[in-house]
Amino acid sequence: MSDLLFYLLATALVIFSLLAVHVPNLLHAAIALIASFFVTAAIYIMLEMEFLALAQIMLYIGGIVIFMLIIILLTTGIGEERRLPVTISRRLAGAGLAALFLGGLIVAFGRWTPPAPAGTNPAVSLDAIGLRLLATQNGFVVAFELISVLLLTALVGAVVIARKDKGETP
Amino acid sequence: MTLSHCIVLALILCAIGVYGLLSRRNLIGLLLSVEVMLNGANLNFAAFAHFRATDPVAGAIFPVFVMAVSACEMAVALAIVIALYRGRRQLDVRSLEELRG
Amino acid sequence: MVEQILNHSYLALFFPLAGFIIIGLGLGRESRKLASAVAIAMATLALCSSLALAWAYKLTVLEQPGLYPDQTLVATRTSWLNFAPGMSADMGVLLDPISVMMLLVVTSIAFLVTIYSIGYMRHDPGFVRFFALLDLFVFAMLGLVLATNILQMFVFWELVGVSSYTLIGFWYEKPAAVAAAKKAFIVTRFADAFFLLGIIVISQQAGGFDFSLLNSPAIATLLNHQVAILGLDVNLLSLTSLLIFAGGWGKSAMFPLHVWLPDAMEGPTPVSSIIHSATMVVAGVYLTARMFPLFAAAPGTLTVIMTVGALTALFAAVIAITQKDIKRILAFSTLSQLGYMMFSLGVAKTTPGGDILVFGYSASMFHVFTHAFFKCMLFLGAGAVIHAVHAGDLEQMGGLRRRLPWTYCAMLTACLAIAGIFPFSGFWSKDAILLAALASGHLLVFAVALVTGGLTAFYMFRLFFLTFHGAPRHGHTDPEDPWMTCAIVILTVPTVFAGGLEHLFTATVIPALPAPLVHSQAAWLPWLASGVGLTAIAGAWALYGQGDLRLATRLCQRLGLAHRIIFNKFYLDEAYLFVTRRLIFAGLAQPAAWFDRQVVDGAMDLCATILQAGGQTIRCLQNGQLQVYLGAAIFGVFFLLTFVYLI
Repeated sequence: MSDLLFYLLATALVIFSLLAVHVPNLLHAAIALIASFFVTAAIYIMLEMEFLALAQIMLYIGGIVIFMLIIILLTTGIGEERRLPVTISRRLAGAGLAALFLGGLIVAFGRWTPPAPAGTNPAVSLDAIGLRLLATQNGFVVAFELISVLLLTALVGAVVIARKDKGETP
Repeated sequence: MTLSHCIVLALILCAIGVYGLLSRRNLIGLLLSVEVMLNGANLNFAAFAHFRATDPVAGAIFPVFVMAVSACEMAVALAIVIALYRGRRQLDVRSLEELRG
Repeated sequence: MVEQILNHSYLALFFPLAGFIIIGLGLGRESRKLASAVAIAMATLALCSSLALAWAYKLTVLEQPGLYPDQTLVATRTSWLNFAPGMSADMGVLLDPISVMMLLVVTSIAFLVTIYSIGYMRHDPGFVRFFALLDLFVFAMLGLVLATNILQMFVFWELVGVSSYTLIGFWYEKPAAVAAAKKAFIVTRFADAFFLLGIIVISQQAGGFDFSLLNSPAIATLLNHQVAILGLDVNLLSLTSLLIFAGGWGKSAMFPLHVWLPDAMEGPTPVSSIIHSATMVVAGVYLTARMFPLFAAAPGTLTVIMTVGALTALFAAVIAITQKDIKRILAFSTLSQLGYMMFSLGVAKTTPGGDILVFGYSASMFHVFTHAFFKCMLFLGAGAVIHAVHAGDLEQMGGLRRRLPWTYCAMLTACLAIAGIFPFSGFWSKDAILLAALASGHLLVFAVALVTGGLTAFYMFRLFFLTFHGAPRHGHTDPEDPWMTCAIVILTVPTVFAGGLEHLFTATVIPALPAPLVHSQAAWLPWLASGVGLTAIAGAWALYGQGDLRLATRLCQRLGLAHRIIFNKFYLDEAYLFVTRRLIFAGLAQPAAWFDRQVVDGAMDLCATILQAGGQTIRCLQNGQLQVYLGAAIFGVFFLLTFVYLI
């Protein structure tokens, strides 16, 4: 049952991801990306990572991809990709290199032997994540604060970069 | 569902991202492909945390950091895209070659 | 008080340097009043400090002969460059009879020339620059005179060369002035190269730079051996002393390196007066005197000095007779007098103990002293004449006696002094030199000196009569300038009375003289010299005194070729030009330039071309296409994986 569900989800994920990178229309691609993220969230739930599934939906879909949709609508608009047609040879070259990449990685993975016997960890509780994230002992509080500073810097940087230069005609 | 399945799935996502990066011509399409690749990486974190890691909490926290960094990247990318678009009215990466030798 | 003065002896150097910095860097081009005020203030302060220094020296050294047997006092000394332990180049102030004498001469003449220049340069656009450079020269000259070691002397030696160069080329918009400045610099540099070589050899052998060390008999003994150089067997002591003397050879413009001095007259007249007659050109004589114990110990060196000096004295006097430009005549006269000083040193001798024994040394220094005043005055007078008639050619002068009465009287004194007429200062010093030549037994040199004395009297009075007597040959004449007249009149005093100081020179410069040579030993000599001088003056009067030049012109025509050769200075300038242009430039420099451009530069260009072509080839990889880079990176990952896992 669980295996069947995983295969289904995995197939859906691969298909949606392919659509996201393949379809000419960027708006459609973004919607496909949202779908693939939903499927990923489902896989996280299967892996007993409820917190991650939530973050995936709220952060990724609710924040980042919506953000991306705004960019798309602000700049290119619907059907923009038609103005920039992708030739078949380019697709083949991309696919070939990606296949080489995948093949190489799978071969490398096949050579890898896991260091310890397989098993399953218990589910990670939300409490544990929250405590660990802000713990000073063996925790991630420094990384957490750094990420917040990084976000702030990125915000300011984005404002500076996107601002119109003085004297520039719109 | 085993660790190997999840890893192979993550690798496939990564390869799809590579394909998108190489074949897309629009700058936003490139950003989209990067998100696909990052998604694969996150999946890997979660899979290892679930099946093998001695410290599963860390495995659950790392994807959160990835998402945060990805949000930063999007914010800056948005600014760059808007600045570029204002200057040249299109976002073809092949025409963005001011840094050529 | 005396202690204080000696401790602060560097102040004499400091004031001119301060003047140079204040005027040169602090004042604008139009602040003429301020610049002249600063220049006079600094010259006065330098003069006062040097007088104080001389007074302190007299009280400390001369009145306590037991304490300072060699009469040398190092008042200030600081270590400047430490080459090695025990071998350092110092900067300091050395006081001994000749340096104190030069100190007084330089500062007093600088003071008078500063006053004079305020009048002479009044309408010149470079007024402020002139005083800055003049102060730089005075600083450099004092540093040279007071040097405690040969390296310090060389540093200031070059510095006076530089200031001389800038002042000769002061009117740099005149091509002749620029050419003259270049010539002076190159000729003296040529000589200085040998000087530097000599310094290197002797300091390497002696292990130090101090004059007291270099002049010690031990160094002379150390160097006195034969070495083989380029297959020639030469005495190292002679070689070294000649190399050092070569510096003085160029600076004092001895034949055949004299060519720069007449051309240097392109500079402003006050400059000719202080640099090219009174002080800088005697630096060569001063160097010879400073290193005299070493030179005297070297076999042959003194003979060379004597020969060169006598030759220059006669040679320059002969040329001076034919010249037409007032300043050129004075320049050749300077050359001739420098020759006097030089051969006077050459005929001097030292005792085996190292003390300077014979009269020539003090006579030479005495002549340096008197010559500085009367020659400075001659130049200042000539400047006043040029200032009045706006020309330097004797043919445009004449009859200036009534127009320039002060200058006329002053010039007459100076001409009488240089001609060696009793009781003016030149009489005493020339007499001393003649006596030294006679006493040394070099009768040929004595004869040359006597003849040159007669020629000197002749050409000086030729100049004098052509300028001031006869009918005027010019139009408008400007009146005398009060500043200039003031300086000239003050100079009359030492010109007339400096001869009275002779006993100071014989008493202090040569303390070891067992029985002082006095004039009574050759009582006929002053009579003979004066007779020659007066005859020459009478001859000049006969030829030029009435303003009737027909006799002189006929004489020139009669002499024909000889006159032409002499008038063209024996064609030495042309010979130099031939050697430099035709032989060195065409034969050496141009092939070298070709080699440099074609071969050396060509090799460099080839390297550059190869690299550039390589860059052109590789730059297409850096095409700015993001996806090409990414593809390359992906391929690299694949290659690495293959390399690690499959092989």
